[in-house]
Amino acid sequence: MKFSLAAALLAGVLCAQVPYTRIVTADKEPQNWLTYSRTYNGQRYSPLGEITAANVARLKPLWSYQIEQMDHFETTPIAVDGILYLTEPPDTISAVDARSGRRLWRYVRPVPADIQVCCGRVNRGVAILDNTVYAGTLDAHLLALNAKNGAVEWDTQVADYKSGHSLTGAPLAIAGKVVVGIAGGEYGIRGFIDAYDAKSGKQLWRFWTVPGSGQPGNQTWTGDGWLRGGAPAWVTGAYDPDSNVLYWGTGNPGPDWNPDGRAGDNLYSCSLVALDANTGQLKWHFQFTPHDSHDYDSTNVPMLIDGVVRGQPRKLLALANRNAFYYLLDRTTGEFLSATPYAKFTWTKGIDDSGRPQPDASMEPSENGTLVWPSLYGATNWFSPSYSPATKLVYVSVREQSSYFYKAEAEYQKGAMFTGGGERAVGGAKASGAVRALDALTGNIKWEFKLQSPPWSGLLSTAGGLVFGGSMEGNFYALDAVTGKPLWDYQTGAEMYSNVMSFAVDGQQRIAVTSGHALFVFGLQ
Amino acid sequence: MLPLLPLLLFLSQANPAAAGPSGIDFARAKRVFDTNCAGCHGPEGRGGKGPSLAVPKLRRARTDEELGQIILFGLPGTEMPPSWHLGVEGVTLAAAYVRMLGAHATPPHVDGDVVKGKGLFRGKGGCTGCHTIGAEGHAFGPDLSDIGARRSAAGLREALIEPNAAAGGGFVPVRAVTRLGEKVGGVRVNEDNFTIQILEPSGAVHSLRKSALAELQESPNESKMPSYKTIFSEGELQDLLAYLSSLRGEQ
Repeated sequence: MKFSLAAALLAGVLCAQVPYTRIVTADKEPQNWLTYSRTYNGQRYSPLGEITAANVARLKPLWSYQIEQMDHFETTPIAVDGILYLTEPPDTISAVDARSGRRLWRYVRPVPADIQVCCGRVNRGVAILDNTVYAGTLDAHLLALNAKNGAVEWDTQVADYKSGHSLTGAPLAIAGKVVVGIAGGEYGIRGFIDAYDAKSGKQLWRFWTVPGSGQPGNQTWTGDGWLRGGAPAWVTGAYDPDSNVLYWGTGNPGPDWNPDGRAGDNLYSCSLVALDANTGQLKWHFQFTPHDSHDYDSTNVPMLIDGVVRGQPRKLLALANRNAFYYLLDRTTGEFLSATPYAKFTWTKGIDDSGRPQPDASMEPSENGTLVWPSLYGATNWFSPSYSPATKLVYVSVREQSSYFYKAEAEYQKGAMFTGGGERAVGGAKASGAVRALDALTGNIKWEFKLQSPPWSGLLSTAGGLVFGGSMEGNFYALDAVTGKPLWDYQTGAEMYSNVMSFAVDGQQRIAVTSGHALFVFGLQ
Repeated sequence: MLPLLPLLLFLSQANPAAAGPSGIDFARAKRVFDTNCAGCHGPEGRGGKGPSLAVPKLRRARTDEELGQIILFGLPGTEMPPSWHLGVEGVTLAAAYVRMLGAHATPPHVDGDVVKGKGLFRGKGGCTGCHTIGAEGHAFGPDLSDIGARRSAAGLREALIEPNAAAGGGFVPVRAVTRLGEKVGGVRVNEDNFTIQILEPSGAVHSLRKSALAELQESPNESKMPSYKTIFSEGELQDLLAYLSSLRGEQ
């Protein structure tokens, strides 16, 4: 009796603890989902293999969890030992019993009425480390909550929301640190990536994604435009524990569509930055879209994979960019290896051997509108791609859509939009979507599954040989990971702005996805 | 990213259209309107594919805030697209211009006899076989209860004479053949990636799995309506247009 009580207590303590080492070795516990993309390498792949092509027809919704707000529900739940931790719009953090869908606790933060967010009052998830859950807020605070009851352990202001700063992405928790990237690229902010001490909430370092006066890269801006240069970092990056390097994508330079006042490449906008996780020092950078004028944020989830490229084994970074190209970089050196289009594009004449796009003046935004592919929403967007080590394919949710890009005057006012124009997307029958499977090492398209309209849903690949995704018509579906053949689908009843994840409870695999204002959890029946 | 909310906030707080003509540069406002709105709403907003805006009251935009929101976000379920690319200033100008058009509006007058037109609609035209007005008619084609508020007389004339040119707006004729050889034809009511719902002229709704179809043909540029060019005389056409233009959604 004594022994079993002690064991139970011990188990309780152990269950609550998510030390850094557990996240590093996440593959040892496929039943859990411990960080935004499950693993630090950004692959969003589940090693759970209970649900397969042979039995997916028996996949059924088991429970759903509804939110009480109309905003988009974009969270990726974190799953730890039978509990899901998730964010609800606008700034609510919840713990939900993974078995039943019943809420265990909820923290509701009031949102200031004068909040400035370009694209909806959204939040994409939490991070967990030890006994603490971390989340960013729309008023640009980073919160640490007790994982047991949601009590606030610390609350650190990351930036002033009144100047257009916000936090919408899931933080990334690494050893002793919580890393966040700021959002607000439409408000003339100066972007940054920050690390905070996980125990105290004290800032450890800040990497400015727009270099300051006298810093290398500052000369790629005109005058003091760098002060309002944008380059936000609003989607969670990847991390290589072996080298202790963070890999993070950055967004558009500001003002978005009128680049006249920012002649030059505008570093480090629309780039991938590799940072020393201890110091925040830049190891290398690669700029995908220099001097961007189409809002082609490079805030896509980077996938760290290893493979042989041109006869050489390499540590790679793969990124399906909003600008319609799939990039492979050497993640040790930042060397450009290849860029392969995966969607229709007209914004550039092509990418040269150094990885630099060749500009096309006729595609610049104009007063009366210039029709350009892809639309400002990009060939893909914040929603995650997935890489399956089993098929060696990268799966991308692709938007085939064009839009008219307008250019206008841009005048900076604190807290006001600083975009210098706008965009009107071409919808209806002229827009469509697809899930495309790319050979991870060549970018060649292996198969596609067509979607009726451009999607806002990320993908999950699994060891069961399946790829899960969602559509704007409410279809949640499973495709054969090797052939792309649709094997199962379920009508969720709402537009899907979502990222799929998987966990297991009682040894049974679950697939979770948000749709509309609900989280759906599926299992075999 | 996609700028939306601050504009809404601005509109709800600042009420730009309420600034009144005094502060508005109407030459610029006209340019904004001509570039962005006139394509559907017609020159001077007198209507075309989209409804006339040169009317004293806009049904869906009674307040300036509503008008600003419609310009910004569009009207879901209609062909009115969002235009947040205009920015606060552009929305302000467009809204002010629309209000100016309304202030100078003369009541729309369409030549023709409304009573005779109603008779043609129910009788010779056979229109109630596919269209509803209020509680009357069969729901196969678009409801016409407020068609006079949504379409100009010129737009309606085009649709009656050359239906295919005016096709669109979600009424997509479809023909499907199942793997078992069953044929279903009608208009698309809804569709997702795996299913399609088809309304037959009989009023029957068929819900089909696409994987069960051998053939699926959608004709978005085709109308199920016959051309009335040779069915009606010019005088009859004008009477019908007068009747349709009088339908403004009010009983």
